[in-house]
Amino acid sequence: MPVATISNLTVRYGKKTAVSDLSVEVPEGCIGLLGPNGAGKTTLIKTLLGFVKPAAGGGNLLGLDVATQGLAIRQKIGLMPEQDCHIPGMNAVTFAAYAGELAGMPAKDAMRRAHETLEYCGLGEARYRNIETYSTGMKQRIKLAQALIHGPKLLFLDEPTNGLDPAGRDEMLRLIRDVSHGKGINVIVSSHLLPDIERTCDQVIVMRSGRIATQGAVETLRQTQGVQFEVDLRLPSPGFAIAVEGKGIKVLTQYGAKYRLSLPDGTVDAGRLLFETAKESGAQIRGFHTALRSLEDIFLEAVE
Amino acid sequence: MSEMSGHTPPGALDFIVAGDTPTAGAPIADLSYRNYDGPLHTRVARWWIVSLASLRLAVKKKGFWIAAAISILPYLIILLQLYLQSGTPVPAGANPLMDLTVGQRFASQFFQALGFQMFFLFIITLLVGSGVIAADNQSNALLVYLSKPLTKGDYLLGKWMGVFLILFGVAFIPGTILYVFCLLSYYSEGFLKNEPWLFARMTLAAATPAVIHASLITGFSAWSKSPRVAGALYAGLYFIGNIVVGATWAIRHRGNLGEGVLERHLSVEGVINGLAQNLYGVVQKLPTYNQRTNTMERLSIDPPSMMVMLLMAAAFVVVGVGAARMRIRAVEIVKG
Repeated sequence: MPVATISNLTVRYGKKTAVSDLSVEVPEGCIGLLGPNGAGKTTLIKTLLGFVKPAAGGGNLLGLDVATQGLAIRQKIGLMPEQDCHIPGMNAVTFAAYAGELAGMPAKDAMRRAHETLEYCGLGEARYRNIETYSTGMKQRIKLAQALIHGPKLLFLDEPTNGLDPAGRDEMLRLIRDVSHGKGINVIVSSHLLPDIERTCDQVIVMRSGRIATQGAVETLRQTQGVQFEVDLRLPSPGFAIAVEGKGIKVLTQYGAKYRLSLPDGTVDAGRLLFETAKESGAQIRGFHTALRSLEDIFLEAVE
Repeated sequence: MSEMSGHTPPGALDFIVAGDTPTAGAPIADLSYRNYDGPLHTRVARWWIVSLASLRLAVKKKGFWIAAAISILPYLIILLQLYLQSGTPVPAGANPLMDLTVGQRFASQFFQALGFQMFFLFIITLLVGSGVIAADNQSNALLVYLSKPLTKGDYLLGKWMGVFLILFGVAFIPGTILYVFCLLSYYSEGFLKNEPWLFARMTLAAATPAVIHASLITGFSAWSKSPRVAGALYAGLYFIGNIVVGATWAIRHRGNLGEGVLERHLSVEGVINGLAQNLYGVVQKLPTYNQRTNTMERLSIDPPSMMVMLLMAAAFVVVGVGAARMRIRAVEIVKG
């Protein structure tokens, strides 16, 4: 069952159309929302949360109508916004418990759950400190904690690793990966950082100019349909490169003894062709496999 | 340790082998993520959670307690004055400070106390109200509020009620103490019979500044990103309003207190004062010097028109709350 179904959604800011006749089904799991600046990612999230009214079209989130059941939707979702947000004068445990109460939790449950969630997010030791004294990394974690407090079925994470150092980023990505796999929570991550999406998400939706440019499982999109191969030689071999080009094979990249090759369309037995060429040029193949595209390749291909 | 091992059943710690002692890093509790499957209430009275949080944050401020303590003083002074007078009864008409006629005797005391308290209520408004929404704007807290199942109306009502309850409490509690004192001291003199509606009047009069201040400061706060700016703007409106109204009245009526009663009340403080005077039904009697007869006289000043005061109070509430409602949104939308 899809997490969200959007049909013919159009959102306008005055004369500017931010999302244009967009239709998409967002599957369950951890989904990356990608797109260049102004592609309409944030507008899409804002519309799904009911912050922005669409000019046309609509959709549903977790089986609830976006236009008429905004409150019920917001009870089932958690939002980790991009910018810093906290309630002044509160420490972390009070803030998280307050967020839980706002979501409808009884005060007692909210307080107990606040302690658990803060522990989970790595803020156990700092839970009684005022949030205004937190570092950037800690502020990111408290935003995640307040989004998780009421056990949402869907979590929106907007640029979750913004401003984090490498260790903090690793930890945040580990948390996202953990919470989105096997915990019954669907996660939509909007980010400009493709490696973050690559590490956490199973599916991606790439947007461009308010429309869907491409969509699918990361593993499927990375496939090169058997046309590109990565070949590992025992040693770098200029002769191998010359030999493969002589057979109409393109050398796309070479890093040391690792070659990325593009075979001509219609090649039937790629393995035999590569081994024969290696034998002819005196190179020794240690391994070869179908090359995978990086998420960056997929993204650039989609938005260009 | 020896004492502890004395209570430990044999074999209970056998699993701890040498060099494998538990460390502080080993969690006792399960720290992994667990889903919450407990109850989630519907939206009813969600605004109360917001109010409660505002109240808790306000009472944490030392300044609030200082201002609240000072604001109680007028009531205590009047209580003391009544106590001293009860010991030495003064015949009607002989007391220059107190109108002893039925219906005026206690009402005028309550009205005076509220009048003296007015400035401190304004200070408390600035202390607890200027940041009520401005601080949320500053720290993007609206995104947290409005991403939860909470409407703009719930949020606004919660914030407004937070300020209202504090101001109301500060005016109502000392008023109640004074009322209880009067009841106990003057019951035998027919206090309840002569002043049957005094408690209700006191309650409404305490609510009047709370409603007006809460509405206006909420409006100013919603349009500011800094509590200081919101406070400064409201203080500007309050004081400049008083000065302009006072100066206009003085020029037009040459300082004659008996004239231009309504004009003198066309400011925030004036409206609160005028409504309170109407609610208590007090006719102010001010001692004035008559130059012609060379004697002291008592000038009676009736309350300003209740209808005009109510209309102005309603306008303040509508403008304040309306302005706040217009400004509250989870995200900035730039239309171009």
